[in-house]
Amino acid sequence: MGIAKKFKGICIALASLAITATALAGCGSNQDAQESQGSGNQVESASPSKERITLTVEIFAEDLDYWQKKSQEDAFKKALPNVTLDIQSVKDSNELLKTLKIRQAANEMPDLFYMKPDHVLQLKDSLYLWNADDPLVTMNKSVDKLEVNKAGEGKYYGLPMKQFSEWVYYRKSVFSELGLQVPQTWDEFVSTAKAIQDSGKYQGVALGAKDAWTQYPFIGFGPNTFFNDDNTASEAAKTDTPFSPDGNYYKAFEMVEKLYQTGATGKALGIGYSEAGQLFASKKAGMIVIGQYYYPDYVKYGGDINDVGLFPLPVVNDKSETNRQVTVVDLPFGISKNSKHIEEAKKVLEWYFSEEIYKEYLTERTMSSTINGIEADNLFTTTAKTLDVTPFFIKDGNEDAVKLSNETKWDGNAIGQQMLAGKDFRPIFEDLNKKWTSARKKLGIQ
Amino acid sequence: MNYSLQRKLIIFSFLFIPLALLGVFMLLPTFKLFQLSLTDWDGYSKSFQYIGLDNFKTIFLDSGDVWLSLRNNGYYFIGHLAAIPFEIAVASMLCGAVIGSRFFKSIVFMPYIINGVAVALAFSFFFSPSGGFNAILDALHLSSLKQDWLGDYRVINFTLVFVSLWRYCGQHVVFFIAGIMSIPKEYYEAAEIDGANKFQMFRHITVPGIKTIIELVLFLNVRGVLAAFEIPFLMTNGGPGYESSTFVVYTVKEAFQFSHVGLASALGIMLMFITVVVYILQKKIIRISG
Amino acid sequence: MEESKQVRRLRRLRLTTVIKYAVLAAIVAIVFIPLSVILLSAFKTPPEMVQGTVFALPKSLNLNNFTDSFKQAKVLLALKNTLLITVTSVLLNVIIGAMVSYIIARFNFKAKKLVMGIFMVAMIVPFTTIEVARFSIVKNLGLYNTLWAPILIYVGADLMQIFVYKQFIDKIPESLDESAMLEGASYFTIFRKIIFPLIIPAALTVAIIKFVEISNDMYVPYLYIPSDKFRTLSTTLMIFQGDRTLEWGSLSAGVIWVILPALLIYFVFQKYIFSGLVAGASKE
Repeated sequence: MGIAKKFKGICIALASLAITATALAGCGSNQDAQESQGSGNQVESASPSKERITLTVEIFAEDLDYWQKKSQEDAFKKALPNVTLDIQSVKDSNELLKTLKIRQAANEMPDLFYMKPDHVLQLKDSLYLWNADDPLVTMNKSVDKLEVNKAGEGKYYGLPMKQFSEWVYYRKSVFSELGLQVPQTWDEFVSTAKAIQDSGKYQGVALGAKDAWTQYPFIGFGPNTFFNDDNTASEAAKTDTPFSPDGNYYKAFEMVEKLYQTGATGKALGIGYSEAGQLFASKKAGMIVIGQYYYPDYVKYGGDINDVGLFPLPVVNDKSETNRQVTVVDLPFGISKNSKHIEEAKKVLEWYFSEEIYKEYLTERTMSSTINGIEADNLFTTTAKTLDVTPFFIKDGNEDAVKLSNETKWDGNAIGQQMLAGKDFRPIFEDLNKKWTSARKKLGIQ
Repeated sequence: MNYSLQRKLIIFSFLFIPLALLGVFMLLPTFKLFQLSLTDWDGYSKSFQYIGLDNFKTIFLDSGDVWLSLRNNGYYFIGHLAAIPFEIAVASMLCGAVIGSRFFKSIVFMPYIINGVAVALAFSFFFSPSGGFNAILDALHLSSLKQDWLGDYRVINFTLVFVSLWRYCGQHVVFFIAGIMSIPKEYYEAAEIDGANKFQMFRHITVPGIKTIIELVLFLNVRGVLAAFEIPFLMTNGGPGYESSTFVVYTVKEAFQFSHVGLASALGIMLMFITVVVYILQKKIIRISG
Repeated sequence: MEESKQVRRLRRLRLTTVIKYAVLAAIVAIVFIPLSVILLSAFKTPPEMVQGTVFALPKSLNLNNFTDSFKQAKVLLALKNTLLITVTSVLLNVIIGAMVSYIIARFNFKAKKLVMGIFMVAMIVPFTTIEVARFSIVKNLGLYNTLWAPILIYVGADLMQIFVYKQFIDKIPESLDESAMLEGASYFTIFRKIIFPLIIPAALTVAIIKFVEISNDMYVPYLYIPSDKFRTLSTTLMIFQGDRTLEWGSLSAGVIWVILPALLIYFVFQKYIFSGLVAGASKE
């Protein structure tokens, strides 16, 4: 009896749940119906002959809002009257690569998608190749800047969506309080960081190395920028022991070690990018070294916009030498070569890179433009004009270098984390040299 | 219809759909896993070569970080194993006379209900250097115990195991409560008349009474700790270096960061193997120690 | 003599009571303190987030994070999808699980060990490593980017479930089946009329655990139903957690939106988890 009663209760509860679900489903589908009806009318009035096409677009979730908002606007409907975007999103670059690779293995690529530069080689078999004379290519000034983007025979794998530089953000009030000058060399930078740290009031440099990638300005780019060598990664593939004391990696790690050993980076392993950004925004740290994308967050978290100064990370060790500043060319758009709607996907890019859509994105995110004739108006583009600094583009490793890195699991940022944990990089490098030598033999790389 | 025909029919029809689902979504991919474990597939090339057992050789001879990661699984294993007596004690407490036992029961199970991302986020806040836990230590005048809970490689695994315990203990407690409730009350009454104390009752009635549930939890535990992934992945991504990596975190890195899908498949196979071995060993050891 | 023994006993009882409540209070604190961080953050404005400690109280009861994240995360759409997927898979899963358990508990047949072995294997397969292969299968079945993909993946019975159900079925006296058979009931009728209703209480515990696991799972929906119209409560949180996004307030509020339905369902159903099990147990 008792059970029967309870059973009834459970049934009622389940039923009410199911009803809620269907009710919600109801609202949802009504909405959908209205939406498609709305756009249906649009089609009829614009171009009745064309059939409706749905393009799948894979982007980062942080851009989802922007894409959705913009693709609902009239400009989109005008440019692509018969196209609906099925926008799919992933949260970060690891997940993007994972998803795209799994989809590639099943031959189910989205029509149009973001890539990170280091994803390109792994996805190249699925990519539509861009001709050099394609208008979308000729208007893109960064298409040549990415070495991995060149498919040979004058063709390209993707169209870089944006670019940004790496900067040192500093609190002007901290510098004047402690009587500090903007440093001109790497050693000065290290001692400035130490001086701020030693004041006992502020952390020297905010660093969120729990997210290993936040060390890019030091560990990732240092082996190139410090030595004015844009091709360190591919050169490493040509030798058996690239991690020896006379190599770029070793020397760069020694320089970074100087910074890490001052303790000016605080408890960097306990926090990630966001906490580090908050440290700087709340003036608990005097500097942060990071890309342009941080600025909107600084503002949002109440950082005083009059108190923030910018300078490129000094990578030279001789004041007479002109400093070099890394510019990162990011997110090449790829189109699947098996897409049934390559022309439409191109039209979507045309729409995306139009001044009206693209410039607003650049402004909102304080990014720099990859498109000729469109200039972003922001703090960084104006500051850059006042500086005597050489823009520096780093070449990603070629295929051999990528293979060797994978085989030996060479991951600079992970070793950087270990340095921050108090370990010596030298024995790790010795071990890497051995692995590198045997990997070259195994893979037959000369 | 006679019962022997019916019997065949019902066995077949009732097992067909569940086994078909299992076959399609679990077994087929697992066969594929075996196949890939013998190849050098990188996950993106169109072709691959069969390389025999080379992947397994690489794992054993050439991948120190796998064993470091597996050692970290050991922390989870010991942590969760050590928690089981405590879980049983809490479960039996909640089954006894406790004011507000329903409230406590729901609180105990609550962490399990909460979204994993939320848990990782809350604890990243909580254990950051200037976060909640260090603030609590300050307030208790225990500042000397303050640590960089997610940065210092000497404590990081303990922190992550704590989060794992926080999240999953409640689930075990619920199982144990279910088990204890199925023990007839008369046993306890009889024991009380014989003058047994609470601990004796716990040891001689409760524990044997939920033997099957304990076995179930022990099995789930082995499987769970060896597959530990979400907490380290979301909270530290295995870092610094591989200090807080686990077997599965390492496997995922091999597959997608370093493009060794063949090797990662071999790691997957090994994980299944290790799970079975650890489970059998655990069962043997427990049987020996009574 | 007799009296002092009584007193000692009473004193010991009081001490154990104190310990008991102290332990329970500690558990409550351990559960709530880390969560309070999320709750407090959800009310803070971004500048407030960076000032003071994580335990600092928000300056005002500012609901912006909640309204913003509700819109941005499309909580209703996500809730609808999550309920559709979860309710369908859990309901089907209960039926499937009961079917398997009935066969395992009541019949002896040659392949029984094999069947159990298969369920055992399925239990120890590490999901994360089979995605590449599983994806191709889902795609080739034409299920990719349809709600059926997650449902069919989730719906399969698992060993734990069979184990719990079987315990319940074992407690149902076989004489019940036999008397039904004397009246000419088919096995199917026996299952439908006797076995299934009686294992519902056990099913509920497992169902709640399944419900929780499915609604919290991120990887399956994320991989198999990527379209935005299929977003679920767990995938919708991604909007706030990119590599370079710093949306702690909104994320915390979003997290609360995502937790709320699960908690609500839990508190509505929780009395069944425990009372259902008691009912089953006291059947003996």
